[in-house]
Amino acid sequence: MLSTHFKITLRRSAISLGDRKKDTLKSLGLHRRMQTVYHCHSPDIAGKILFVKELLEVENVPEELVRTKQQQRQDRMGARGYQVVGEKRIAEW
Amino acid sequence: MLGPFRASHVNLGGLVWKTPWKLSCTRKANQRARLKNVDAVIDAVRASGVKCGALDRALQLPTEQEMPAKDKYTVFSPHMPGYRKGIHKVPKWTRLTLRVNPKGF
Repeated sequence: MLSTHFKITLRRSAISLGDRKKDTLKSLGLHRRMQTVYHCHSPDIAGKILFVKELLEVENVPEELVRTKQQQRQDRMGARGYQVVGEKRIAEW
Repeated sequence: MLGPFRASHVNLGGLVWKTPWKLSCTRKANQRARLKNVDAVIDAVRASGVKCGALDRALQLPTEQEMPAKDKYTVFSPHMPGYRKGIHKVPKWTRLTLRVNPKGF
C-alpha cells in the first residue's frame, strides 16, 4: 500500500512557544493535544510539520486509512445497544 | 527553632527552587526519548518522499544515536566556565531542538 497522507497527532502543546508555532499548528488544523489530522504529502505540509517537529507524532498512511473527524469519533465510540449472549434458566421447573 | 517564626529558606529570602546543576538519570532518559521522537518525525517526513528545504535542513541534524552525550545534556554558554551549561537551564528546553553547538566548544 502506497502511503499518500501524513497522519499528524499533536502530542505537546505550543503554549509559550510563540505565535509562529501556535499559528503553524492552527494552519495544520490542530487545536488541542492528542488531536489527529490527515494531510496529503506535499512540501508545504512537510515544512509545517518540521517547523513544529518537537510537538508532533507523524505517520505515513495510505488513502484508505484517512479518517474524517466524524469517522474518528465513530471509531472511538462503542457499539450501540446490547447483545444477548445467553439465558439463565431454571431447569428444575 | 520551633514556632511560627522559625527560620526557613522562605523566611530568610533564600533560594527555594533549586535547579540541580546536572540532569538525573531519569531526566536524561526522558531527554533521549524526546530526541528519538523528533528523529521519528523527521524520518517519517523523509520516508514520505516529499522534497523541501526544511527537510534538507532537518536531515543535517545529528540523530540521537550520532550525538555525543555532551550535546544531549548540555549546551554551549559563553558565560559559564568551560563554556557549557546543563540543557535544562534553557527555557522550554523539552520542546526545542538544541542539537548543534559551536564547533570546538
